[in-house]
Amino acid sequence: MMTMSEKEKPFGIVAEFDSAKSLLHAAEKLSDQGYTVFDTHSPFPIHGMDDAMKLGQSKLPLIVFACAVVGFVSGLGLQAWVHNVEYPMIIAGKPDFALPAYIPVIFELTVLLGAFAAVFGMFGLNMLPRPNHPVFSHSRFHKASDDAFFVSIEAKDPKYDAAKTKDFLQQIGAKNVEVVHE
Amino acid sequence: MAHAPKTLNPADLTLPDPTFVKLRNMALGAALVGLVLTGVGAAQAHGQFFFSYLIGFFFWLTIALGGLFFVLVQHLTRSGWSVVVRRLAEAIASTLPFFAVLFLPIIAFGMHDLYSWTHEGHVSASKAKYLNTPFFIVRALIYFGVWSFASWRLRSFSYTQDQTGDPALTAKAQGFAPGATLLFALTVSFAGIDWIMSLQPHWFSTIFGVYIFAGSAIAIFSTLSLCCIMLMRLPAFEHVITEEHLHMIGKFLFGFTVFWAYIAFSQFMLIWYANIPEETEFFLHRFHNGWENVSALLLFGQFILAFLILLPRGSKRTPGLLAFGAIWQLVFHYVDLFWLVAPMRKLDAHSTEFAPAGIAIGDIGALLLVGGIFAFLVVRKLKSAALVPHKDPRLEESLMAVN
Repeated sequence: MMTMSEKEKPFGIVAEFDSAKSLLHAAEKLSDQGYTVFDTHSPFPIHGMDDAMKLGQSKLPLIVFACAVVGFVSGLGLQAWVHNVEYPMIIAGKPDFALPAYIPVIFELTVLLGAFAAVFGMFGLNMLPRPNHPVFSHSRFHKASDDAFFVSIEAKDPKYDAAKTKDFLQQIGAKNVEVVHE
Repeated sequence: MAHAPKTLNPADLTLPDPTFVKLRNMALGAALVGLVLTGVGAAQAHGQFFFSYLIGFFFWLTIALGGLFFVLVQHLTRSGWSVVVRRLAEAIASTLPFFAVLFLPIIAFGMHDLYSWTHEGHVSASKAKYLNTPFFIVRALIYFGVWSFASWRLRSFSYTQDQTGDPALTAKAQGFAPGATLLFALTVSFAGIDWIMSLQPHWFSTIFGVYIFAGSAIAIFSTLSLCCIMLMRLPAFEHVITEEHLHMIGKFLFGFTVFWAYIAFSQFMLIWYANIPEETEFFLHRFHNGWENVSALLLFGQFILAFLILLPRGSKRTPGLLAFGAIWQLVFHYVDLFWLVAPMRKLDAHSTEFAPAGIAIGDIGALLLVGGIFAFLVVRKLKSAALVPHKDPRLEESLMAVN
């Protein structure tokens, strides 16, 4: 098995840390060193991790806003078209363009598409669903959903250098530093 | 990441004297100008002055009630983030007993001009069992009693804790909050019905109390934003009140803006759809005689534009932008109350004809007069103790709060 995987392209390095606090510090040090393509893995969300990793703002709000606008326009457009062009009917003595009556449908479609965008946009940005991932091949990675904390640095990172990165991680207190393959 | 100091020095946390003097003088100046304009307004308003006074009175009252609501909800939910801003709301709510005094002119002189149900035979006998002057006064006493007691009780827990540091006081406040919240909901609803809805005694809306509450929530989160932005300018508050707290308050302001629109539309939609004369009376007044412009202004100002202004993350975290949004919403909260009350103004004391849309000198006078008194009381209260409950057991959680 070892010989098989060693022939494959390396995905990057996965290293374990003792606690949430040391993981946060590791992330700070990595981003200070100029690493950009790395990730942290922990059993629970850690406050301040976004800042430590210098992640910046998510694009999700823009996706949600755009889809909500689509929901708004289609809700208004559909009803305006049906009631004024395609099949005008007098309902409760109201005019054809009865905006107050349109509002509930407009509201629901705006919220619906906004919520879909939030959920599926999140999946998309996280590249989910994804049944397998190279970091899973680290010997102790199953502990990431239990009581262990990991950093993964991808080979794609411009600063990545198998030997130097490994040394640096060990310097900042990492254990079980392993190279994982695609 | 800036790490906040674990303990705060209480001496740094008081309102500095120059700021206090400046704010107090501004408040007294506003009250004085308001008094003059109120006099002028009352002289030329042909018996319609109390409408102006009711709008001004109710505008500041909704802010004070919002302050009580804010303090109640923080204890109700055992909120940690809000400790550093809670004292502002406590000071704002501390003005509630004084509003009972400010209500006296209405009871003494304004009832006949404002409330047509006080006229002989104007409402049916069954309605007169509720809408009669003695019961109206008793109810007002109950409302002010509940508000004054609740705001005093919660404030005294907090102020005593500054001295003793006893965490049991926090638990007591949490025990007090649920019952007080229930009473708050009932009294605010009935006060809205008594003082505003009964201006049109033949009209009724079961959601009206919630509508008043929604406006009051917009008012307090706007006011809190502005107070926090002012405090953030003081050097001692640099790491105490941060953009994280502004962001929290901004999110509430945005949320309650949507809530207000939801309630306002729920009220309008059912009346518009059913189209029954006894219900449409309310909107009929507000869709004619120039009031249709005020209605449109309210729709675009308090909701559509406010929604877009407050929506981006940056407008809740940037002090200047949040201040703009907060002032915007306060202005339109006034328009909202103006829209509720002013269309009921008559041409003069003997006329049955309603006056067209327009603002009177008395409106500005009453706004400044009550506002000046309100601001004076708040500033004086803020000066009397530390601006942050520095021995609250959740202080550190609040200092470290992130969104």
